[in-house]
Amino acid sequence: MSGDVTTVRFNQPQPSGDADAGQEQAAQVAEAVKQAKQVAAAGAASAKKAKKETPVALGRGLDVGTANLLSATQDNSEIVVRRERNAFLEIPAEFAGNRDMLTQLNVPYVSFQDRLYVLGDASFNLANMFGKEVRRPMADGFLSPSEQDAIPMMRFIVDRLLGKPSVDGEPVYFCIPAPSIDRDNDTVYHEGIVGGIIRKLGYTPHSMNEGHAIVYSELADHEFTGIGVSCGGGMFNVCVAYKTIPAVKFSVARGGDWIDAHVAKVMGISKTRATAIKEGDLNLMEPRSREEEAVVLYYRNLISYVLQNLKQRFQLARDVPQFTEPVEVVVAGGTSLIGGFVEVFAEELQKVDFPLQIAGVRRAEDALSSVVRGCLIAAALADN
Amino acid sequence: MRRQALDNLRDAIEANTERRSIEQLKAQGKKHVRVVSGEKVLKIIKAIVSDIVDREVGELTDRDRERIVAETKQQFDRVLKLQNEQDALLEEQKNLVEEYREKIARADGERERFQARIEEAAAAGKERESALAAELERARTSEREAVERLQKAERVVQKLEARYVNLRNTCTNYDSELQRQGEARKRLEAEIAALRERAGESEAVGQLRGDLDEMKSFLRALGEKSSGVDEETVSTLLDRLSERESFNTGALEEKFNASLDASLDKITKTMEAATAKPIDVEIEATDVVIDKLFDHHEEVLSSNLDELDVDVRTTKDGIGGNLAALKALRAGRKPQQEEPDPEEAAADVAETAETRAEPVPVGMDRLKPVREGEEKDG
Repeated sequence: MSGDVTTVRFNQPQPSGDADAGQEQAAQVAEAVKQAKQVAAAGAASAKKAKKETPVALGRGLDVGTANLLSATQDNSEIVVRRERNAFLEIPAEFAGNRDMLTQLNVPYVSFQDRLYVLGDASFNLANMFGKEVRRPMADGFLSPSEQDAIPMMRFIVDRLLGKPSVDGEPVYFCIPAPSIDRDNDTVYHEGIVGGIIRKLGYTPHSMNEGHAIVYSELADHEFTGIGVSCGGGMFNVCVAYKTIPAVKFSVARGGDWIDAHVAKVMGISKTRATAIKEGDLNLMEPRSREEEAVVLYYRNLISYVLQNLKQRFQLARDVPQFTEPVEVVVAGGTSLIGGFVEVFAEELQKVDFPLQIAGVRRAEDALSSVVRGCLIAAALADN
Repeated sequence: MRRQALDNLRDAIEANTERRSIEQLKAQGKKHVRVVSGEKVLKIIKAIVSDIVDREVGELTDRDRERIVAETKQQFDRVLKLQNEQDALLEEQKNLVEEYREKIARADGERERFQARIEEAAAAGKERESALAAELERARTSEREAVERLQKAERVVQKLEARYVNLRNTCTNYDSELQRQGEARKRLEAEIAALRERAGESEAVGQLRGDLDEMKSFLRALGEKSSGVDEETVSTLLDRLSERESFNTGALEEKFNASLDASLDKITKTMEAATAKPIDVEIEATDVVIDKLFDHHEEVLSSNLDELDVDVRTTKDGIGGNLAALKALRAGRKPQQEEPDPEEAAADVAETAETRAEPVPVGMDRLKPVREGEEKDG
């Protein structure tokens, strides 16, 4: 991602005609920028002080994603992030061989109900060897209805990530997607089961919207006011928050997998090939082949789809606070890592007659861990 | 006569005897033989005949004697022949005995050979029997092991069947729980729909607005009317009003205020009902449901999860700043309003100076919403 633009600031349209008015406006702009820098410097100083004064608290964050599960804990002033693929593979017991060998090869396994299961990343490596497909407990952001037997597997993976609680009932904030506007999905079952898993491990579970977690993680310098967009493999989650209070939150059942599927379909290539193109060195602003152009086209379509629905949701929402200041949009998640994503997002945003003033678009510094970091912040705050 | 009788006797002997050499006699195992001449044989015969005749007959004539002798000679020939035949038969029998003895000897040899073969076969049979016995023992051992495996498999099958029944019951109970939660959700959704309908009811709000409009029109008309009244009429009215001591303006004002308050309360309640948010309900999976999903946790037979770690990375970017900002926000203060620590001021000078030195790109400011028809910039 070297050279990738991670922040786009929008220019104010220059008024035509009056030169004096233009000069006056420019002076105002310069003064506003100077004040903004002073405020930012003071904020940085106070943040640094707060960082040293704020004690390390209990609490853990858990990002329950379709592709990956992540946990975050505090270790002095650092954050420890643990990641594991949300997948497993059942292998025939007679092929397991010496189980000590599996341990030596760093292959995590569990013998459960007279079967042998390999968990996490290792399951993908072994899937090709045994000619089997990995099984995924989740699909499109929710627990998969066709993999009810996989819930215990997910429990083992979550156990690996969270470990033993520091104290009984230690709070864990886990992210859940918002109900989708374009698919009939239900968060009740998903939230209940995941919460039950966490509670069974000795923690006190609390759910949190994915987009809201990004607000907690990335918009501290803006009084937690702005728009957080989690760009995942199965869905995009959006949250518009005003001083930590979510005003609008929703999800769309389209994500990176949707792009892969459609690019593969229109270009007549395999989905694996489409994924490889998307995750290669493609820059959305500079496609070099027909396949890359197709990827760009679907990315733009998806971003535009999200923004149009965000606009509609915002206009239909009741009791929406008045955003007196322009707000920032922060994107995170694996699907946002592609080169040129922020620029394309900014371009599409400018095409939409948005009811909010937008200051700019940026990607989280650690896009893969932003959600779990936000959950950790919420958990630490709850413990305080 | 004597010569003729002797010649006849000689012929009879030659006719009824065989000529054998001494070597042949030795080969037959004869070591001694009796030799008798023809004359002595004739004499013997005569002596015998005379004795017999003398004993039986008495005195005989020569012719009778000759006749008896002839008959006797014939008898003797027959006896001799018979004797020879017996000898021949004896010889033949002896030869047969020899043959049988040889046969017996051969048979004995055969018997010994068969005996040896039988012994060899018996030895081989014993070896084969030992091998078969060992194989039989192995087969019995395998059979015992197979029976044990079968019994073990049967136990496993029973165990699996029990688990299957347990899981099926779990699924049934879970389906019931899901159904119950679904019904609860439907009830909540119905309540939400009802509330939204109420919010959507604009009839009450419209009616209030209509009332307000009427009131406004009335007041407007009242104002117009009052503006047309000349000053003299107004002063007259005022004088009359002031003369009426019984005219209780306070009561009227109080009544008006009460009516106004009641109307305002009604309007406020209606607006609150119209804009009320839907009720959010959190439903947690019951411990019973979760326990039933995970009641087989104790059946994890082996695992190496405790020995291996997952992908771990640390980030230097802590959350202290975020927590402080959140706490400050809760307390109603902006994080920037906190007084910087004097001890930190010196350390932060370089950082602040560096920030100030950062170049500011031209036109870096905030975007106004772009309306239709306006030109977009850049």
